[in-house]
Amino acid sequence: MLEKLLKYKIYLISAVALVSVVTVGLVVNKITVKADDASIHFGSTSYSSNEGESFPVGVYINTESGTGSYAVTIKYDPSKMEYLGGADGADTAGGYLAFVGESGGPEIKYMVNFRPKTNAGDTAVSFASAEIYNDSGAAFNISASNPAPITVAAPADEEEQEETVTEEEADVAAEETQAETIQEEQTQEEPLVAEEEQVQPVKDAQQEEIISEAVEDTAQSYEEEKVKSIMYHPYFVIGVVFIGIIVFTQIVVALIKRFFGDKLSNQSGVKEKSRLKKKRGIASQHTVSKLDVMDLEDDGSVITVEDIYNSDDNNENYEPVISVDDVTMEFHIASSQASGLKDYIIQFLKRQISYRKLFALYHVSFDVYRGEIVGIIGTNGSGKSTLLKIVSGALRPTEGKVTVDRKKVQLLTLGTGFDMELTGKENVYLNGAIIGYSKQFLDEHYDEIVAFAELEDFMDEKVKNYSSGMVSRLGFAIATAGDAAEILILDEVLSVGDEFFRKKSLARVKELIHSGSTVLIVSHSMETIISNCSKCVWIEKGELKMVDEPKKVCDAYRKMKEGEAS
Amino acid sequence: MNYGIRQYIFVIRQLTAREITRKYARSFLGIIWSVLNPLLFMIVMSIVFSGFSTNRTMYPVYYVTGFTLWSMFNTATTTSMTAFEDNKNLFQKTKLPREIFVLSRDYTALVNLGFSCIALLIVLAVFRVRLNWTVIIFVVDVFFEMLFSIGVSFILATIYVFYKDIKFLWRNFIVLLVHMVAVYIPIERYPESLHEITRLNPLYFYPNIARRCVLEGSVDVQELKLMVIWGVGMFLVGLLVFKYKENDIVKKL
Repeated sequence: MLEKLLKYKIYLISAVALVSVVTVGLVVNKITVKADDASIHFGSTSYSSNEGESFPVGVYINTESGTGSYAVTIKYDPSKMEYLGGADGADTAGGYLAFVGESGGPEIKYMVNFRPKTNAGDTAVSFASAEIYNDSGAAFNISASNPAPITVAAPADEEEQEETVTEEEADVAAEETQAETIQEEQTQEEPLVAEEEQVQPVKDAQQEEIISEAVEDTAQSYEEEKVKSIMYHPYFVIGVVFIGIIVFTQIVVALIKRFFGDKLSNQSGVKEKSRLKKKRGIASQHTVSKLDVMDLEDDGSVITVEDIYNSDDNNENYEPVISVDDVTMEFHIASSQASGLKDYIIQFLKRQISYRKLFALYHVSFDVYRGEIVGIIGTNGSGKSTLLKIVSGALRPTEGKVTVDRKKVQLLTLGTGFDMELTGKENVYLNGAIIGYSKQFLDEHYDEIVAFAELEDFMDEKVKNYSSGMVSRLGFAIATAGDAAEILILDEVLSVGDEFFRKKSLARVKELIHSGSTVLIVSHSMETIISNCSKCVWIEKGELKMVDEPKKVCDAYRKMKEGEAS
Repeated sequence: MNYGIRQYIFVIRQLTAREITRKYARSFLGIIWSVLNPLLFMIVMSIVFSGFSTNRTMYPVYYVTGFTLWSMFNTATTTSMTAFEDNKNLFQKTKLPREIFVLSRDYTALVNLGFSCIALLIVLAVFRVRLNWTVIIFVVDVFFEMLFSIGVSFILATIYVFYKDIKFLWRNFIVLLVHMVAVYIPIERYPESLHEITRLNPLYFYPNIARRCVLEGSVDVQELKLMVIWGVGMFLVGLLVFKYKENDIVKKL
């Protein structure tokens, strides 16, 4: 699954980056710009009072998730009303009242008392400023209610007064909240309450027009502002730019791949050859036609190599199980090993860091067909283990491709993951788990494993007290406990324990080899390879030397060895 | 040979079992140390900082709750940093996804947290803290902190393969960090100017969510949002860093 995804790594990375940037951008946007909502409002939408009589005005602060600290000021007209008390602070000359404090609750309530002055007409109280924070210090978005109109009547006109108030209230209820202010302004302009009744119908009509326009206007401008504020929000901008860059690079990469893809792959595939071509090109600058012919020959030769494999293919009549196709594995080895950051920086500054390229494998190709038993030989450090690692999927090759169904591959090595501090039994489970046995399988086969390793009395002993022979016996027993997989890779598992155990293990391996359909064996023992394998691959210093019958290959290998020795 | 997700979990559990047996290999009390550790720390800290009554709750409870979550992050990152290096020989020879080694270390830290929670329960019982339904959030919080820790672990483990210095760097950084996330000292004691910056620190709000939901029985939605973002974000970043460098790691080892 992951393997498949990795093929599309670049797309995956950019997709994830894109998604994360967008989400982070949006969410952060939400957090900073749109905190939870809070509202402040008066106890009722309008108030009425008689001259000289004090009346209370309720001030409410509501939040969704509980208020931390808050500071709210309201404004009243000191020339018309006298402030009696109820707020946290008052500026009686300027007409400001302050409400400051801290609270955890979702609602905070104040009762402020006013008394209309004798010469007063209608007036209003309104919110002047408000800041509300939650517990963690984030500011709320505050929606304040509109000014609350206060109508003041002379004591005698009490009844009439109340009528108007109720009418007004009905109006208020009918209209949108935005409209109220305007309405209020209008009513305030009217000098006498008594006249209001007569003017009312005409005014209503006028008002409605104004109101509806106003509502539309404000709604529109509010929407626009909202959109603008999001548009100009830094995270949004960054997000858009980032996405733009990613999309752009994707397009460029795709274009480059489409137009230059063939050339690129050719170049990287046959570096060596292109260099040769260049040399030849210089040598035979005049004879262009000749060069062309040579190039053709070059390509032709490649094809013939492939043809050999293809013909092989045809002979066998089925697909290769393992196909190693032009695999190159390149290791960068720093000429001076920088073990730490300090060393690295010093060496970097001194420009001492130089990398030596080491080709563990250099353009190796071969195929393995179903039912074959392939031995791999080569001197130490010639790239055998690297090859196995690539086939089993532990390493990804620098160049080239290995086609193999990794699910079917089983790599047998000894003592992978033995822990000296643990007991034998614990190690069986740990090692078994790592090799790929399920818990159920291990439960079932535990006795078998122990019996094969002949360690019945030592399983509760810590492995560090085992002899090396015992450890490898246990390792072998675990490694070979399962049924053979379809593709079996044996990495030096045959030289284990004493004479008797070796015989036993060889028999077990043979059993495995013959039950599993396809086998790769790495071994130094040429006898095992000659007697067991149907094909032999010889790798020398990273390069493929020979793929042929085991006998021939081993003879050639031996010859080279002897030649070196003499 | 099955290499399904169940097998991976089995391997992780085996590796974790190994970690724990090894960690307490020669000790007499064994895993009980995981319970005793926070308790001992709490006692010392409560004596030293006895003057610090927070306006929320009693100091010992405040401390233990924060400390359990903090120490999970601490152990998860410091132990999994060396995960690849320690499992060198395993690393090359198995087909197991390499993430498993880091995950097993992180899982070990999680198991450790499980035991520390026993200590937490003891303390809660002793101080008669009444639990609310919000305790569920604690589990969610731990989950996301785990994701966060896994992300950081991947990055550290990857760097560690190439530069061993990160081990010492990180160890020092952790020591500094512990004083920046209001584990020992309640945030109210910090200078005002630091409040904002501390509140945005993921390592502050993971323990803080835990304290909030366990001790106060309340939830802050904004913190929960941050929790999810940081957890998932860090996890993805860590995984990407590791995937990007995976082949180099194998080569280097």
